[in-house]
Order: sequence, then structure tokens, then C-alpha cells
Amino acid sequence: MTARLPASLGEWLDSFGHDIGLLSVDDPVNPGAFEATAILHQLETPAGAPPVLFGNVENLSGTRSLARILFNTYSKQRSVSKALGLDSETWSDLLEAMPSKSAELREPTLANEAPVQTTVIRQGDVDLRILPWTRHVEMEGGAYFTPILAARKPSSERYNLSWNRVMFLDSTHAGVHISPRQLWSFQREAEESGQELPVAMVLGHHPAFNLAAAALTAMDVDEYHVAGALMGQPLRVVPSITFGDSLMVPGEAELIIEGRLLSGRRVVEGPFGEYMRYLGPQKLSHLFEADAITFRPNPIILEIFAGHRDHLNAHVSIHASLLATARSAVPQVTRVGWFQGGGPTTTVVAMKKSADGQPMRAAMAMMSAGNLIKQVIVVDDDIDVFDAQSVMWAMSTRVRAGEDLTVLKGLQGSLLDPSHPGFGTTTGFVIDATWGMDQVHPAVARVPEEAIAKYPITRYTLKES
Amino acid sequence: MHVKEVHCPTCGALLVVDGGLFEIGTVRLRCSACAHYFLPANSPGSKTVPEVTNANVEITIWEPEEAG
Repeated sequence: MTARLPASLGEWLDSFGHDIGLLSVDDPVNPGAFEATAILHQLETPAGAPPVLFGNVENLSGTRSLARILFNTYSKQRSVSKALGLDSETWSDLLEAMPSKSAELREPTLANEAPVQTTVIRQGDVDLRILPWTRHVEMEGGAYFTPILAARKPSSERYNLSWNRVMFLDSTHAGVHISPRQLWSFQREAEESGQELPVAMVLGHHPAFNLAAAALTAMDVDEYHVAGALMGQPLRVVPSITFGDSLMVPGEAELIIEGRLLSGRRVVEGPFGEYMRYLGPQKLSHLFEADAITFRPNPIILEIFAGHRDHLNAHVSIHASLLATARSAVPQVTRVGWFQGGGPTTTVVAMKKSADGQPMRAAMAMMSAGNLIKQVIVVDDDIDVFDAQSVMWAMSTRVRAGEDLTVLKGLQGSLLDPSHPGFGTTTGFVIDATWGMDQVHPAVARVPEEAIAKYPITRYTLKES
Repeated sequence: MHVKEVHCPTCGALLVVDGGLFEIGTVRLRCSACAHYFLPANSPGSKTVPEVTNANVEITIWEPEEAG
């Protein structure tokens, strides 16, 4: 008999908290005054930071919040691996395993119980100030959450999950930044027919649920099914309190704010610390109006540490999708990597090239996968795509710009890219940093292995001067 | 994103603003530090709300009641 998989965030922490190095802070902390992120900053290392659960946090009314907050769920590979029910030792192993996991789509099941609806605060009594909204980085526009927005396409039964930055405005309103992808198209479809779009703002669920929201999914795929795939079990859903079965919500979530994206209304929202490590500027964003708050006992809000490793690694679903996409175009692709900061904006592809032209084929497949990617560098398999120094070695020694650099104009850009002029197009490039098929590969300068084995350093006395 | 930097006329705090929003000129910005709402000085007024929001319906800008 197999053990029951964790279905909620609390169960997941109970199962894996020790394994992932979870830290708990039970001292009073005010996340709305940068206190939580100040602590997180001091725990950050180049290798990531441990997950931290703040158990006693202040809300925007200045009293103890009904919820706790978890940060850095995705900061380290080990934690991401456990989120996906995997036992990967490296990012490469995790990225190899993730596509097959994502492909095991599971239909949601109607839950008999909905822990998330244990307590219900209905319209008229809703006050978003009771929640522990967080200030992440300096010059941010206000207090934020980074929840998952679940919405149903108005003209179908298909659900989308979207990971958004959400800024507190007043007791029933919040500003929501939405990228021009699926949730955007749902909102436009509703708006252009004069309708508001019902949404469930999910603040805390099994961490694989959030990763489903970051997946590059085809428009006809229901992301509740993707959540089931990544969680390894069907998502348990129940009718929402406000919209009934016209908006089904995840019953095992920690806390949900039900509400609507209003039609024909926008609000100034931002700045916010983005994964590119710059502030995303204040802009005109969508307006959310809350109708109900529902939550389980002692809920845990899963929050991203904005602009830090936790934020970038939360894009792991996209990372795995890009590897699969590149490999489907060119099977010789071995790994796909990117670096903290720009993340997928500049993506590195490694391959065991068997024909000239394969680097450009793989790069074009990546470019077509999503608007986050602006620049692609293709390297040979001996280059470590997760090591910027190794990539620069290939760039320095295997590239002739006249032959190996291709500039691509007219690309859809990312609204979060500081170099991108809003809704206009951007320019990207492909650099083929692989050896040509007919090129002699120069020998790497290294000391013979036999000599190192023959003359171990322990044999010698090294005197300090 | 095309970014502009403006200063709050009330508290002087620096605010990073989307270039499109700045160029509308008739939409009030919100200071990150003091929450004061203000119109951007020196905006060229060269963009419209529909252009910046890429919306196909008439858009009304919402502000909280305390914005005054």
C-alpha cells in the first residue's frame, strides 16, 4: 500500500519540512514593514536560502494575523524537487523528470469536504486588512501578495491558473498585474461582453499547485488538470461560496479571496520587485473587487520572496517546458539553463551537435515557446549551462559574430523587461557558440590526470611565507 | 517596460513609473512612500488610456476613496 500523498501545504510541510531545511520564526514579525524580507535577505546565499515559516505575523490592521506566511519554498532545488514529489539531486535531473510528470494530466475531483471553506467571511464583512500583506523591497508601490488566480474561460469550462502580483488598495480592492497571456485573454473576453470575470485568489496550496500556474500550457489545456499532474493526484475542487459551480475552487487551499476582475476599470499599481531583479514600474493594472474570504484553520499563505532566488526558481515549470520544446525540435539538445537576474530572458541551450544548423533550429523552438525569451545562446555539451563563466568561455572562444550572431527583430517582448518599450516589439538574438562540424577542437590546457594521481599534494610540505 | 522616474511633490520620494502611464498625463500616480496621488509633471500627454492599457472598451481609472 502506497503512502497517501500530501494534498495541502500544511501536509506537505509536515511530510518534507525537515528534509528541505524548513526554518520557523515564532517571534512577532510585521511583513508590512519589510521585517520578514529583511530576515530573508540575511539568510540568502548564492546557493539559495531555506524556506522560512513566519508563525506570528501582523496584518494591515496592526493586529496578529489569522494566517502564517511561508517564503522561499522554491529557493533551493531540494525543496522544488520535493514539491514535485521527486527525489532529484540536481536541477538537470529535476528538469529531465518534470515533463513526464506534467504530462500525467488528471481531472479534478469534486471534494466531499472543503477545508478552505471552514471559515467564510462574506460580502459586507470582507476586510482585506485582516491579512498579512507584505512589503518585499524598497520603493515597492504598497503591500503585496503573490497568489495564484484561478479563473474559468467565460465561453468554456476550462480553467487557467495564473501567478500574479497583487497590491492592496482598500478593504475590498486590490490591483492585479496580468501579463498578456491566458488570464488576460479571459478578462478581455469577459470585458468585451460587458462582464466581470469571477476569480479565486488562492493564497496557499500544495507548492506543486503554484508550479502548475507557471507552466507554459496550450490554450486548450485545463490547468486544474496540470495541477493534478504536478501534485501527483487529482485536484479536489468545490463550488465557490460567491459564484457556486460557475467557479470551482481548490478545496484543499489554505485561504481564498473570491472576487471579480472588474470590466472597464483599471488602477495604478506597482512598482514591484520582479524576477529580473529590477522594480517593475507603476502601471495601469486590473482592478479586483473582493466578495468573500474563506480559509482553513490556522492557514499558511505561500508567498514569494520577490526579486530573489525564490522568485526566479518559481519559473521551473517554464524551464522544464523549454527543455522539452528545444529537444522536440532538435533531439541532440541535452540541457537548458539560465542565470539569476534575467532568468529566461537569456536562455542557454547545450547540445551534442550532429549537424550545422541545429543550434538555430533549437533556438527558434525556444524563441517560439514564449515571450519571456529574448536571447538564446547555444553551446556544446561540454559547457555547463548553469555556470556563467563556462558559457562565457564558449562565447569568447567559439563565436565569430559575423557568422554566429543572428539578430531577430519584431519579437513580442516581456512587459517586465526594462529594455522593452511597453506594447511595442523588441529585438533579440541567437548566438551559436558551438564548434563548427568541420572545425578541429583545440585541446584544453590541463595537467595530465596521471601526473596528478602520481604526485598527490599530501606528499609535499607547503610552507607559508 | 519603458521606465520613467518621477518625484512625489508631497514627500519627494522617487517613483518608478511605466513610460506609457507617464505619457498619458491625466492619470494620477500614487506615491509609494506617502500614498499621495498626483499628476506627473512634464508629461507630454502623448498617449491615451486605451493605448496604454491595450483595451477595447472604455476604461475608467479607479482610486480608493481616501485618495481624495
